[in-house]
Amino acid sequence: MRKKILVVDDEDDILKFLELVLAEKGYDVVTAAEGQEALTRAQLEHPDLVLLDIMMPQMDGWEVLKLLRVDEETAEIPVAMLSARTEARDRVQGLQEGAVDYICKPFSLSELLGKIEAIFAQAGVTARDSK
Amino acid sequence: MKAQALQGQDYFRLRAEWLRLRNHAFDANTQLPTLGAVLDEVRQLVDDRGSVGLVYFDLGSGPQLDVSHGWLAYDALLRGFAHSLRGLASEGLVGPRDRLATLSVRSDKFLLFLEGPSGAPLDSGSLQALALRLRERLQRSLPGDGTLPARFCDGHALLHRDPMLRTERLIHRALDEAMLMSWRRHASEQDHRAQGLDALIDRGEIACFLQPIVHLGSLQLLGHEIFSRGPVGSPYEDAEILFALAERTGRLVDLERLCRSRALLTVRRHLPPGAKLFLNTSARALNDSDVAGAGFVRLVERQGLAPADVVLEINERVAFEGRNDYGAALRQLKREGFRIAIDDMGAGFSSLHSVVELEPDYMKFDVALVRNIDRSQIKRSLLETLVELASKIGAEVIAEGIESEPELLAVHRIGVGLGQGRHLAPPTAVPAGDAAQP
Repeated sequence: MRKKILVVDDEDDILKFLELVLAEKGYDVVTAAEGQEALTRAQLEHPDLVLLDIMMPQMDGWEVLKLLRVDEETAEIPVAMLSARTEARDRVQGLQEGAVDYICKPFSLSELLGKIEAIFAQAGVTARDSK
Repeated sequence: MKAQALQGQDYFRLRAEWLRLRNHAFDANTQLPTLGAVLDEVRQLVDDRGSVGLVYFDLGSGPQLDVSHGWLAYDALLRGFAHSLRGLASEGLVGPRDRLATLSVRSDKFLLFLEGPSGAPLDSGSLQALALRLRERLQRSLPGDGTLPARFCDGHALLHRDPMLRTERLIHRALDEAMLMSWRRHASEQDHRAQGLDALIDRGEIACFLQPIVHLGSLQLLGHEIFSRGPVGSPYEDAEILFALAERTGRLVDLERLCRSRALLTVRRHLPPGAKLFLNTSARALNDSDVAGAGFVRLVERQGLAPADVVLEINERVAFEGRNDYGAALRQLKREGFRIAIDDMGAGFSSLHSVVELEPDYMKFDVALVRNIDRSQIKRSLLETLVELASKIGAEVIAEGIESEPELLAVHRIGVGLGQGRHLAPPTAVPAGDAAQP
């Protein structure tokens, strides 16, 4: 089964770049450029992973994450935060709000792909555990 | 087609808005409504029945478990308590029209509105009896394995409908009354405990435990952390409760003096040569003449230890809050050769900057961060940041509370050099006789 990834970022360049490389790696990619669109996409597409930028105008990544978590339909989707800030405080917040990982921009491609694979491997393990 | 798409957009926007509002009215963790969300139903109940009982449970009045055990464990505790509250319905203690709520989102205070037995309106005597049964029932549902020393206080109040008054305000007033009762009980319990603590300190009834800290690569011993607990089976057995109580009742300095002298007296027999002694130290003790004065160096040296063998563990929260008050005392201790560790890191930290300023020799990572780290990307990523920071300031890192092989492997892989926990070695009690020998 091909995995579907929702990428959320207000920077068009990053969106296009990620769409390209993730598709290249055999993932189905869906994109959203702002928070409300991200929530809508998550509802409609049921992605296996959301890569979520924190710094976005209007609705920021934390707000999106919170709303994804309280909605039964999207509560179980793993979310990895993307951020240009490296502060540990942000990582703690990510942990508290229920994100599964925190990826610092600029990231290397191999690092990003490695993390994505690790998240899917982990999700597989947890799914088996709970059965 | 276009119109349909637009409607779809509206639907999702409304759904997001609804979720946002629901988020204010329902607590996602406990799955309970807040007081605001049930207020109208309770008002209805009061209007129909003439009188309604309110029973109030406060899990936050005791030791601050979220501070000592981390918010994850506390969230789980609150979920469990809410589950028990819901379970009361199946035991017939709570009826179908009775309403259960949390005071607010993320609150640790719970409210139960009871209409009482069918037929007769609820009176204060039967409410009191009911509250007592509920308390006994709920006390049994708290975790009893000692991992989380949870306690709650409760209070109750009866509301009578009064056509001259707004029922909602009566509900709020009843809540005030129930809260006050809960607080009064809590205070008298505290008085009682404080007396017990005085006796414990006077008689020197504390037990000391040693737990090894090892190099994860070689499994060689770096040293032991020594910590104290109250007598086994007493309400003071849990160290967090013991020290929190001492802090509230102004006996912290005395208790720490007792623990410190015990600790130093035991090391001669129990600490292998060359091993370091990790000693928990509150911020207040840093300014205590016992530690800050020259006498401390002498006391340490008399036990055959050099100041460099003694690592003072300072709590992360204290390191942040008290860095101005205690910075000077810490620098003095460092000049004398003592080593400094920041304890419980990763539990809360508002500012790493303050930790860096203290130039610690060791950074100890909290159990909450280490628990199940093998299964959490984000915890690993957080720990990586902290390990990187530690290496920048030349501090060694210690992972606390390692309880499994996967946790051990995960922290080692991230570059944590030192570890402590049951998986490596459990704490061992120092025989009381040994400690008592001067």
